[in-house]
Amino acid sequence: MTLSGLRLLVQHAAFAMLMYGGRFGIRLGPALPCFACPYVAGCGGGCYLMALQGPFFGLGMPWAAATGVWLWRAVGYLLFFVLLVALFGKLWCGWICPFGTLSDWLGLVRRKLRIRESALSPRGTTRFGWIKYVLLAMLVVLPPFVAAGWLPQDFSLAFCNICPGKSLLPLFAGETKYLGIDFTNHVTTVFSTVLVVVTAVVVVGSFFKDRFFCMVCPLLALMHILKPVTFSRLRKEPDRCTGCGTCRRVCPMEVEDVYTEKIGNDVQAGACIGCQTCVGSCAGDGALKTTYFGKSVLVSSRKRAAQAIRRWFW
Amino acid sequence: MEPKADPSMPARRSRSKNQYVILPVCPHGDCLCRVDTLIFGLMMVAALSACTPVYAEDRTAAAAWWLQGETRRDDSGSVAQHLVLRLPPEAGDIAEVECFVRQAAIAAYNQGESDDFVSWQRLSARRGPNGMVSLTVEADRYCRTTVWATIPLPGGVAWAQTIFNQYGKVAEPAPAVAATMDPPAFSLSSSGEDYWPQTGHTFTATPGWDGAVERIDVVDEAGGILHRSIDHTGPVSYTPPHDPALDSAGDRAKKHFVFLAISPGGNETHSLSVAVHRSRSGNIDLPTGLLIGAVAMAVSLFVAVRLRAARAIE
Repeated sequence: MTLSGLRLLVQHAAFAMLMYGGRFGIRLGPALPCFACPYVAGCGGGCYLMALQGPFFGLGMPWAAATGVWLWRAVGYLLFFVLLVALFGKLWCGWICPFGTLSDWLGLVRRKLRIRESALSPRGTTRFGWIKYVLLAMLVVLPPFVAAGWLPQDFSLAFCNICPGKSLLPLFAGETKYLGIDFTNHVTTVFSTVLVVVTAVVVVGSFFKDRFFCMVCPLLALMHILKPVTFSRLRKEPDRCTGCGTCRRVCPMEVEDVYTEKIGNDVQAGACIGCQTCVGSCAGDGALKTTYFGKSVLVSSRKRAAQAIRRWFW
Repeated sequence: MEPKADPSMPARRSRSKNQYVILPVCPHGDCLCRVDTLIFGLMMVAALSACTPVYAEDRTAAAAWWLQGETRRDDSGSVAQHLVLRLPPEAGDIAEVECFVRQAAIAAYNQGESDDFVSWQRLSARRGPNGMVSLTVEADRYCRTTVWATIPLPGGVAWAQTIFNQYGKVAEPAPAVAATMDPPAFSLSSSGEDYWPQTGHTFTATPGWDGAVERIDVVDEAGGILHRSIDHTGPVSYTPPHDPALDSAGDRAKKHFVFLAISPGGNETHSLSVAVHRSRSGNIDLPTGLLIGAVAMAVSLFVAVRLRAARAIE
């Protein structure tokens, strides 16, 4: 089985498990490092961003309640999240995340229609990249304000209220209400309107640009902050690199670090989603490798790259 | 000799011979004056009835009901629900009220009760320094809690029942106690999702005890009648309307309504109080959301196509 075929299989299995697993007793908890949306009825697990912001086990917990079992549960979920990131790194993004899979489906439709992908300039990519850190800051700063009563309760789960995962993923469980405008009060009206607009922009963006939302995903930012604790690494042997630039061309996130790095070994950039496409397409034998606990688990090879290119064109 | 009649005033011969009755000024004549009085009296009754915002409380039926207060989380992981018992004046200065508490496991995704466990306990609600009779019910696991109070009254008895969910998280839950009690109970079903009761959902209460029921009213927290049942032999349904004040107060705010069953003669009453939160989906306007989404998508598409065209020219 090819690397891309294996990835496709894992993505679809993960999508099914995370979207519908709860109906069959699969409950992986609320600390997953991917957009497994808890708003999907019957989901198999929840995105950690909701638990992080939440009033029960997250930063939205009232100060008086942040004691005993409740505090330990919040710490426990954080540690579990860190453990999952450490174990699988950015494979969560490129191979497991249901929202990423949805983005890939939109990209597939574009390719079938033989529409060229839109490319962003390096400056544009950098500018967009900062948005995810801004969103992460919002995730961390707002919940304590809500817990302290300085912001209305409707600001609780602020990021979830504008996340396109909330409106799109429940569609696969037959739930359409998150595409509506919530006129309960002014705050909910604004949040739901922003959500609908963001959803529309992300759908169009994901059609024209692979993994459009991943450029601004705060979970990716959080995982990159935790990069020092991950057991997997993307390593480059500069002396084996042929300089063909294939890694840059095939990268859905338009990461240039893999191509431009000439001295160091660690080339996993902040925007990398761990899809391993660069390793699978690299024509330099052993130029790129994914390591796990220091051991190589995936190594680039000229033969595999040639097969991949043949499949790409024919 | 007959008295001299004033030509400006109507006069009539009374039944007594040779006596004239001078009537008060009435431009319409004698018989119409009485009709006028009747009409005026009816109008006064109608006006007074219209000015009265609710029906006067039925003083033949002394009733009590529960009001749910705040929820407290303990360091151990258990949660405690504070309840206040609203007593009728006939209860006097009763210091202690006998209560029954039933706790049953909640099925996954809040879909009613599961068969995992049922526990019963007998507690006492006591009058506190603030003069109110209250009770605190603790739960160490996810459960649906039903609380009954029985209040002896002169010439009768009042039962008060309430149902709510609790989400305790004790690491090692205590073993369940077998069922030993059987208080007269309403059963309650809801038309909507069971995360918590909401306005806009239809609640159906069915009396489940032996004994005649004259009527079942739905009253608010103060005893004002919201709905009076016509058919008192079976279940009674009520849909609490959306409340703008509740909508603006956040999703934790709640208000109560009470199903009140009254026996013939009014010497026995049974109440079931339900605490409802604002609707989570009742104010969602899907068509407006889809319209805004379509517009946003069209604008995004236009921008994307223009940018692609501009880049192609470059």
